[in-house]
Amino acid sequence: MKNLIAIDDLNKSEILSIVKRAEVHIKNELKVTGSLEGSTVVTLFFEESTRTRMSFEMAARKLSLGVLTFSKSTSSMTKGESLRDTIATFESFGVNALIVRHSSAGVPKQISEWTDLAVINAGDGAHSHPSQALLDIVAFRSAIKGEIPNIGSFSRKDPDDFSGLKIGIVGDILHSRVARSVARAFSKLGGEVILCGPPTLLPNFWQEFQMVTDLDSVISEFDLVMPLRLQLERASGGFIPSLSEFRHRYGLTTDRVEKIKDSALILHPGPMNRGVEIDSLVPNDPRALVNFQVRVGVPTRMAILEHCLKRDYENE
Amino acid sequence: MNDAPLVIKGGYVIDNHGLGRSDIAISPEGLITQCENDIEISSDQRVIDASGLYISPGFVDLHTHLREPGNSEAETIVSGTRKAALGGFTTVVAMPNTSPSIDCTSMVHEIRALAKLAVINVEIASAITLERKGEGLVNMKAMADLGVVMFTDDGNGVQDSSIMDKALSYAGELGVVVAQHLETNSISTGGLANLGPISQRLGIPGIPASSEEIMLARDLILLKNRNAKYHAQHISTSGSLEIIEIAKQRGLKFTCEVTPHHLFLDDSLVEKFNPIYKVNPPLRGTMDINEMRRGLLEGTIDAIATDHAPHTLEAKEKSFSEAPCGIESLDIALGIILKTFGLDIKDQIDAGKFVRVIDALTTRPRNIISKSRQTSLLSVGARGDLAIFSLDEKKEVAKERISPYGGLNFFGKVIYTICGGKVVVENGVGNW
Repeated sequence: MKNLIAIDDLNKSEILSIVKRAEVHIKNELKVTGSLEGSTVVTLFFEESTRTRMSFEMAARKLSLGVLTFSKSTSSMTKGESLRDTIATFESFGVNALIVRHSSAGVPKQISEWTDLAVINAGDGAHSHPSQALLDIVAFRSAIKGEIPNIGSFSRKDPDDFSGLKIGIVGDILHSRVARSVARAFSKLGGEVILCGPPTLLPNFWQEFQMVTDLDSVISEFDLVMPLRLQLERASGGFIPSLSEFRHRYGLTTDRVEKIKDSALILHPGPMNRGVEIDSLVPNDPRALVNFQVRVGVPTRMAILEHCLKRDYENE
Repeated sequence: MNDAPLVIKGGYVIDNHGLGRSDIAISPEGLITQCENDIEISSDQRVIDASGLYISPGFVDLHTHLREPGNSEAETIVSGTRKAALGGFTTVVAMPNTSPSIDCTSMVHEIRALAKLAVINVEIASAITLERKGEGLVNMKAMADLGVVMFTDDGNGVQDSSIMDKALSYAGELGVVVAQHLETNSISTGGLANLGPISQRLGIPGIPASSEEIMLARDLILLKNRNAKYHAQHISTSGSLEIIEIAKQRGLKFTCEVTPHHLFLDDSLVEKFNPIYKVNPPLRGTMDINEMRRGLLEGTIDAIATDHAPHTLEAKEKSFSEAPCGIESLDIALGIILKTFGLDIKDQIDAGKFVRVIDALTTRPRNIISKSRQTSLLSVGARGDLAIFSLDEKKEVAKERISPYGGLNFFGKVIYTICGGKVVVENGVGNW
C-alpha cells in the first residue's frame, strides 16, 4: 500500500512509471483487468466533483475493484460521527484504499496518519491535486508524441524529459491546488514552470517558481499554457477589480491565443468559466487538449490505483 | 490554614537581582520571614532540602485559559491550576473568554467561587467589552473594584479604534492594565497559518504579520494621548518587535509578552497538517522566532506568558480549518523556555540570560498586574510563593499528549511549588 497525498510523494521515475502505465491503458482502450480483483476502494468526497470522482470510480471498476461511494450528507457524520471514527469504520470493513476530497487543505494527510489503508488525495483545499497533475502529463505526452489525431504539431524526441520546455500556469494561482501540483509535477520532469496572474492571486512568498504578472510579455515563450478556472467570487473579494479586467489581462481570448506558439499546447483542468479565463472558441483550437484531457482521466487514475495498491504490473 | 513554618535550605536562589545562595524561611501566614544564608532551624519548622536545586519566585502567567465555565471538558479551574502548580506557577491570570464571558461582576464572583478549590492564586481578567464583541465597554470601575487585574477581550482584538481609545481613557484612572489580543480581523479572517513560503507552498490560507502589527501600531498611537497601562499580548512577529523597540525608545510606557511556542516552534511544523500546531497568532518563521528570543533577552519583551489554551482530543482531531486554535504548556513551560535559551545544561549556564528569563516569568509579569511596583519577590515580607526546580532532572511529556511537545522531554523539572507557604507540589507530585 502506498499513499498519494501530493506530487512530492513521487520521484521522477515513479511519475513516469504511473504515466506510462496510463499510456498502456489508453493503448488497450481501457480494457478491464483483473489483477486487483478482490480489493475495494472508497471514494470519500466532502466537496462536490464531477470528473474526479466519476473517473476514479470508473477506473476502479476497470481494474475489477470493489467501489463504495461515501456521501457525507447521507452518512452518520450528520449524526455527529467524527471523521476519524468514519475512517475506522471503513478500516473494519476491510477496504483497501480511501480516495479523499476535502475543502480543507491537509485532510488526506491527516487521514493517512490515522490508518494503514492507502490514502489517495483527490483534491484538498488549495493544497494538492496529484491525479490531475498526472493526467495533465499524460495528455501532454500524448500530444507531443503525436498520438492525438488533429491536435498539436509539437514533437519531441524524448517525452520523458521536459527540460527546455516552458509551462505557463495562468490565473488564480493562490487558491489553486491544481497549480501547486502541476507546477511540482512538470518541474520534476525538468520543465520550467512560470506562474502568471494578478499580484493579488500569486503566492508571492513561495520562491520556488518564477512569477509573472504580465501575461502578454511571456505568452509567446510558452510550450504549454494552462489557464485555471477563476472562481467568480474573487472579484467581490477584492482580488481583482472585475471579471472583465481579468479577462482583458489574463484570459485566453481569441486574440491572445494568436500570440501562442503554433507548436504550443493549451490545457485546462476544468470546469471552465467560458468567457472569463478562456473564450468559448479556444477549446476548439487545434492546440487545445481540453477535451482529450478529460479522456485520460480514467486511465491515469487506473495507473494511480495500481501504484497505490502496490501490485507489480511492470512484468505484465 | 497554612502548613508549619518552612525553611528551604541549601539551594541556589534566582530572581531578577541575580543568582546566588540563600536559605528562605516562610511563616505560617505564608510570608517570607528570612532570606539569608545558614538560617538556624527551630524544632517546629519543616525543612525542605533544596541542595542542588534552584529557587525562584513562583511563576506568574499573565495569559491562561482555564476554560471554566463553558468548556470544562477541555479544562477546569481545578485541573488548569494543578497543571500550573506542576509547572512552578503560583499565580495565573484567567482569561475572560469563557462562556459566558467574564464581563460582569457576577461572573467575577462565580470565578472566585470556583477558584476556591484552586491550588494556586487565580487572578481574573475582565473583558474590555460586553461579550467581547468590541462594542460596549464593561462596567470597568465595578470590575476594578472587585479586583480584576487586567482588561482584555483576548481571543478577539478590539477592532473599533474609537472603542479601544475609550477603553484606554476610561481604564487609565483605574490603574488596571488594558491588554490587547493583536489581530486585525479584516486582514486575518480565513487565515489558518503564518503567511509565508510554507503556507503558500502548502496552499493553507495565510495570516499576515500585518494583522498583528497594524493593531499594535494603532494601539500605541492611541496610547500616546492616554495615561493608561497597556500590555500587548502574545506578540509573534519581528515587525511587532521593531514597533515596540521604537515606541519604547521614544519613551512610551507599556509592556508586552511572548509565548513559549512563539519562542520555540516554527511554522514549518504545519506541514504535518496536524491541528496541534494550529494556534493564534500562528507559529511564525525562524526569523521571527530569533527576533522574539532577542527581544526577550534584551528585555524589550517584558514577560513570557503561556497562552495555555487546552482543547479536547475530539476538537483537535478535526480538519486544519475546523479545529480550534490553541497550545497548552503550563506544566512544561519552564523546560521549553530553558531549552530555548540553552539554559538546560547545568554546567554551561549563562547567569545573565538565566536571570532575565526568570525575571520574565516572575517579577516583570507580577508588576504588570500589580498596582504597586515590587522590586523583589524574594525578600522579607513578600508572599511565600516559590518555584523550586532541578536542572538535573527531565520532565517527560507523554507521547500521546495532544500537544506539539508530545514525546519530548525537557530539563528543568519543578520539584516543589510553594504557594502562600503551602507546599502544593512536592517531589514533582501534586499535594492534592
